[in-house]
Amino acid sequence: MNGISVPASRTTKAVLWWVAFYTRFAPEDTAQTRRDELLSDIYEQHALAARQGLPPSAVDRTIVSRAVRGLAADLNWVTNQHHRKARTMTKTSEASPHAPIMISLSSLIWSLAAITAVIGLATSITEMIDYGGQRFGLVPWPGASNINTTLCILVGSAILLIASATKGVMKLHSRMSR
Amino acid sequence: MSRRKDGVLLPLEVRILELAEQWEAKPEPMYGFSLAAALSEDGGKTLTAHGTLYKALSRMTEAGYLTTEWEDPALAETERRPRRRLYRISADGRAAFSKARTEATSALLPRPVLRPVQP
Repeated sequence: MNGISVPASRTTKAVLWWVAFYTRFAPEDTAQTRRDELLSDIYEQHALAARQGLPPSAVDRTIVSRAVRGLAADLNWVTNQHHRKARTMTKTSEASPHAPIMISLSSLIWSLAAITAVIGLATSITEMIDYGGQRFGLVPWPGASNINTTLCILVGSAILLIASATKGVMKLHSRMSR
Repeated sequence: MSRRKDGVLLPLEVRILELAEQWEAKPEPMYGFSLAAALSEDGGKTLTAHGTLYKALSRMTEAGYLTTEWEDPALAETERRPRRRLYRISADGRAAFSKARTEATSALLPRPVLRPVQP
């Protein structure tokens, strides 16, 4: 931003990283507004603290406190923005009978689903490789996993991962075609 | 999370409207951090959380209670700082604040108690 930067403490960087992260899931114009506004806020807080002669560590603590206390509101804001965008897209797709089917889940939820799917896949595959043939079926040792449960986790995670990956590719494609 | 009805204001939003109305008399416009600082003066509270403050401002702007614009980039450039997003109370905001204040006042008034007529 015009060569102007806020004091680059680790805390400030972490808070700005968080802002950059969650705003990725909001429409671009709204997201940029939020990022610029937060940058200005943090800059002003540092400037005020410098005028008052407060130590940088005290400012950092306050900034972290403000960021942490606002986490729930940040996520709620992103969800609301996404729902608003989805409603707008639904209206558009209703107007056009040949519009593609829209996956209206929040991108944030898709990301979480992808992480869950990867964990599920890793767990179930490890389970099969490490204990395959011994823990399942014929060998009834205590705490052994049920082969059916592991297979369900494997198939469910695979489906979830395919859906998440498809969503990701669709989003990337739509960004590139804009 | 339950959804709020349109037009229902939270105490924070009422306070923001009150401050925005008072700000009209000041030479310097209202922006995010100045508002957070003003809110923290209410009983020595800590600065309002980023998410809470900007979510409230976003909702109030979308509801039409506040108008917003980015300040002149040249001014920010001169002062070597990021641009501020300025807020002003709108006519709808004044009406909403007036309504909220009336409701708060009437809620404090003692309610008349109906007593049975003595024969």
